[in-house]
Amino acid sequence: MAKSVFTGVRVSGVAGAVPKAAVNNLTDHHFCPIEDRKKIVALTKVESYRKAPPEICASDLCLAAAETLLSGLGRQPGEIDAIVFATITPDYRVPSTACVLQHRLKCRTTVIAYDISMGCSGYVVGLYNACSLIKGGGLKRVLLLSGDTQTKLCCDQDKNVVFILGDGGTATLLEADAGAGDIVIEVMTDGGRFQNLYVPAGGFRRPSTEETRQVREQPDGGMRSEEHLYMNGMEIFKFSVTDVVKTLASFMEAERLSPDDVDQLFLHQANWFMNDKIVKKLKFPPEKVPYTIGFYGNTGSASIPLTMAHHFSRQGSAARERCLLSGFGVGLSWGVASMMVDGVFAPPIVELA
Amino acid sequence: MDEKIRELFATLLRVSPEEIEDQTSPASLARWDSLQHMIVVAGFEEEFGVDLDPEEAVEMYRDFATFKRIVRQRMESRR
Repeated sequence: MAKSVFTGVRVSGVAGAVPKAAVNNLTDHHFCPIEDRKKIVALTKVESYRKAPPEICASDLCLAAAETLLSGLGRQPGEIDAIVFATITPDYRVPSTACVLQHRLKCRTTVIAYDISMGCSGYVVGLYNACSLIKGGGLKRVLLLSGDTQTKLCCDQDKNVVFILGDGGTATLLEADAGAGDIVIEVMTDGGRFQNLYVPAGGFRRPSTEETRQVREQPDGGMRSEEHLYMNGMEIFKFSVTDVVKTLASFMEAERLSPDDVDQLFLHQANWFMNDKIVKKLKFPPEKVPYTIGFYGNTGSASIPLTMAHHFSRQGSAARERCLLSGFGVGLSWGVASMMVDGVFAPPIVELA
Repeated sequence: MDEKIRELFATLLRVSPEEIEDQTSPASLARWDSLQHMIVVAGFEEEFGVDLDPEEAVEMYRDFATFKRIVRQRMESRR
């Protein structure tokens, strides 16, 4: 079982950055009738999301978040021992964008830096990695960057995804701290269902061709090429409301946590209708479930930390809260983390033009 | 009740009621995709004041006969 208890690791701060440019789901997307647009917004609660221009990548958003975070915490880049970048929208196929970020952040060369190719579960998997580097590797400070420009992965005429996916980047600083409470993380994987949420072509299994790049109506009615993100909506809905709920419920039972014991449930911001089903199934009061999906959309690996940054930037640094996090998506991969957040630094969300 | 369900289903899906029969399914009606299905389910929840279980929402995606059956069962369990 991929479940670990990490003692003595502290989440010192979390920061987020989003593109300045916004897409409005009611007034944009003219390919879709206005009546449909209204119903989709009412269902998903995504009124708008941020869209990065061509020259801004997820790494740029994460860099902006990281600089704000480190500066606010009074930490120097030279104090970072590792950079972990969770993303499905890297700058390049090769090398890891984390290596490039080592240089851009002006960190020492005596660091380990690598990407984790994970989407919506990326933050939880990233936390697992960061905590492991501190506890197992004896490192002192790990910068976990988690971000995606999912708008660049989807076809802008694919109604299945274009109303939901947005862009965002985040930075979280984890530090060794003997006095910190436990961070408990469990991760699950089912690659047998990977084709329910993936980009079919453009990798090495099916290299890019003129045919795979062609945008056309697909069997599910969506307009996209085979190098755009495909989502089997009903299978992902089924996965989220069964497997994810089951894992969350069993995790809570094992950790002796009830909804009363948890102050905040940070779910991956998939879509409101689906998330609300998860929340109700677990019997969480809605006031304990923060959302940013209404204005940032589903930002992939950024969605959990972006929501945390948004929440804690409003709460102030005095907050001491038992937080439960759950990310779920591409892989299929899903994970749950429990941590006590105590005095976390969270600056206002940065906007990048 | 069956007719009310059919009419509401058609209205929410934005198709004519004549297109909806018991054997109508996502495979036979292109408009009935997963996104529209969730919109329809949400619409029924609002209209009838019920919260459908997520498992029910998934099962209702099979065909209209199943959709109707589950809605009727939910309405009857409220009495």
